[in-house]
Amino acid sequence: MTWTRSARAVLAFALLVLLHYTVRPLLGWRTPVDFLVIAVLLSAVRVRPGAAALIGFLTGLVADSLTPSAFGAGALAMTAVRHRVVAEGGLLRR
Amino acid sequence: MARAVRSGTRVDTVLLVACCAMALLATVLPLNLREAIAAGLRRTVVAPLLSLQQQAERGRSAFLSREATTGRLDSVSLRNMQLAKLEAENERLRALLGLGRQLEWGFVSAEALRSRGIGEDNTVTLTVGSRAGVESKTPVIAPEGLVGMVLTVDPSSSIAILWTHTDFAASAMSADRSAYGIIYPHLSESGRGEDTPPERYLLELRGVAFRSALKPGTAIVTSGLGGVYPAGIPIGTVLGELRTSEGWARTYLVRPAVRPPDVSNVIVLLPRKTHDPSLDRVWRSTISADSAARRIAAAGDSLARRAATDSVRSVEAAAARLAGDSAARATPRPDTSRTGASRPPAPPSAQPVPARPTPVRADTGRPPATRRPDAADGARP
Repeated sequence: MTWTRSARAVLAFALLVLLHYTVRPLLGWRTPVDFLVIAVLLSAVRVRPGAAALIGFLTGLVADSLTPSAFGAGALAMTAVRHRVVAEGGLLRR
Repeated sequence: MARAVRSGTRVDTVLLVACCAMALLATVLPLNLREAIAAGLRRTVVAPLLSLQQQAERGRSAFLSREATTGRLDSVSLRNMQLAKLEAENERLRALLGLGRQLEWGFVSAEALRSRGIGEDNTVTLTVGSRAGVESKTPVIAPEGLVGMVLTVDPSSSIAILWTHTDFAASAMSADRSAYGIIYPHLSESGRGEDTPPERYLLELRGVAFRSALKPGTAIVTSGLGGVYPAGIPIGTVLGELRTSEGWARTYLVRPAVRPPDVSNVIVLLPRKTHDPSLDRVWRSTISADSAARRIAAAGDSLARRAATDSVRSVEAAAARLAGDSAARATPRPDTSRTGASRPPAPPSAQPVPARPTPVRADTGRPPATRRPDAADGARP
């Protein structure tokens, strides 16, 4: 993966996270789009499964910090999702 | 390639297991510890994101409330537009109450309904008729002065002509009784000169003796001659002299005290009241109070406003004392509790009731309990 593609992936991820906290509240009365999941899925195909699991874990922790009663559940879900996406993508690629 | 995948798979697996373990650990942590970690994240990493979310929420609620705010603003604007009309009506009704309190008896208050037909600008339909004691050729007045005369009477309504009607005429005089004449509507709408624009609602005082010169601003009132209009009802003020072909008398242009478009609530004087000699004093006190009230409106600052209010109170108190004295000397008050307010008073010798001055306030909104303007509505003819 080249630096350009890496930078593009990081940028897309950051942009989607920003959208999650700006556009989602604006669209809240119509459709609650989960931009965090989209960011996770889009960036997962660019990195290795381990890194993907780590990013998913951190993203889930950030999301869970706003819901302390379910703290860790989102992190676990994101970790699993990202790892499975990368693993399936790797299998497909192979 | 296969080596890379294998080593990558091993590292990835370790990372996955570690992340899953940490996530599971986070779910089973004690509540206070979880809250402490979440609060730490909120204060550091998530703080900018939270700020963005807060601003977005604020923008959304502003967007949502914009329509409601616009609707509320429209309704407030509409209500504000009606407020000026209501204030004017309130002021008129207060003045009417004040006049009714000064008159005390022998009148009925009525609503003046304007006809919208062509050629009916000069008549109004009154909501009182012969059942209330109204008869033909009884004067119709407003707090500002003379409005017109009742023309035809029905049981529950009547038709009155305004002073703009071509058939209107009233014997008039200057307030200082130095000049007498007949007042007519000024029918031509031409201006008084090149500098003054044409005005629609004006009167003419005709037949004034040539030796009696009136200055602009002189108050014109009814003279009481002729038997229809009692003396002292304000008609208007002199604007200037009109050039006419008559060489033996003067004609003056008069600005009316009552503008026909402002006529909405009026008082109809009952026939017995038109012969009451104390009517002149009633209007004099009303005029004084009115001029003092105008000073209140003109006063800009609060001190001037307070001084003007005090002067209104003093003028009205003097008027009340005057009315009380005159009533004690000449006209005892009728007993309205049994016969209604339209009954004229009995002679002093037959009914020696001691007169009691009517308490008068600066605002005339609270008339005495037995002396309301509509107290004569139930009067029997």
